Amino acid sequence: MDLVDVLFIQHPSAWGPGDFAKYLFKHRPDKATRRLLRQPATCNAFEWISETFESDAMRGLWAYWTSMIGPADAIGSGAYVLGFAAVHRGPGILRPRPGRSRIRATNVLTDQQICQICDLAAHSRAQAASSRRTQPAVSG
Amino acid sequence: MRLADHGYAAVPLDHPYGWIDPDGDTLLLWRHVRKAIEDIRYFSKTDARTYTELHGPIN
Repeated sequence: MDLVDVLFIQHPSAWGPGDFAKYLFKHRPDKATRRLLRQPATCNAFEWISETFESDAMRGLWAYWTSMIGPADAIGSGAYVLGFAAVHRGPGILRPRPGRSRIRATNVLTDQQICQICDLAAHSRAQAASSRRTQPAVSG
Repeated sequence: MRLADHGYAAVPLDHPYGWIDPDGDTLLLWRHVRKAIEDIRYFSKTDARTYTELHGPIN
């Protein structure tokens, strides 16, 4: 188990449609909510955005948002859109004062530590991609 | 890592994400839901209603 496994339950790109359905069934037992959330789990993020919003403004904003998280044209990536909830709950979206460069300027992380983090992130992405490739194709 | 000892302080953003078109129109995704929905309504009443419906069950 590496650092990414410890810090994160699971990267959204590693979720298949079945995994998301199980999660919904467990945590959101009411039918109305499951019906509403089923669509993001069964299509990619770009498809969901196109079918959900009509304005260029919302489509552009959400395409940008989901592309930050992962490959927005991958099967099951519709689940990425759920990340928007973080904007409106808890502390919201936080940024370091007076900017991200502040952290680098303090040498909090050594170059070696940063390399280790990058390696772990690349390894995790490769595992997720490999997992997606080995999943059986969904028949339509 | 004692980031605060090195000067780290986190600040919440009132509108962390946004969209701008070539003519200068902007959509800000405000932290406060009502303000976000007001901004969305400027571009599309349907999208504002959709966002309201999405926000309920997810949050």
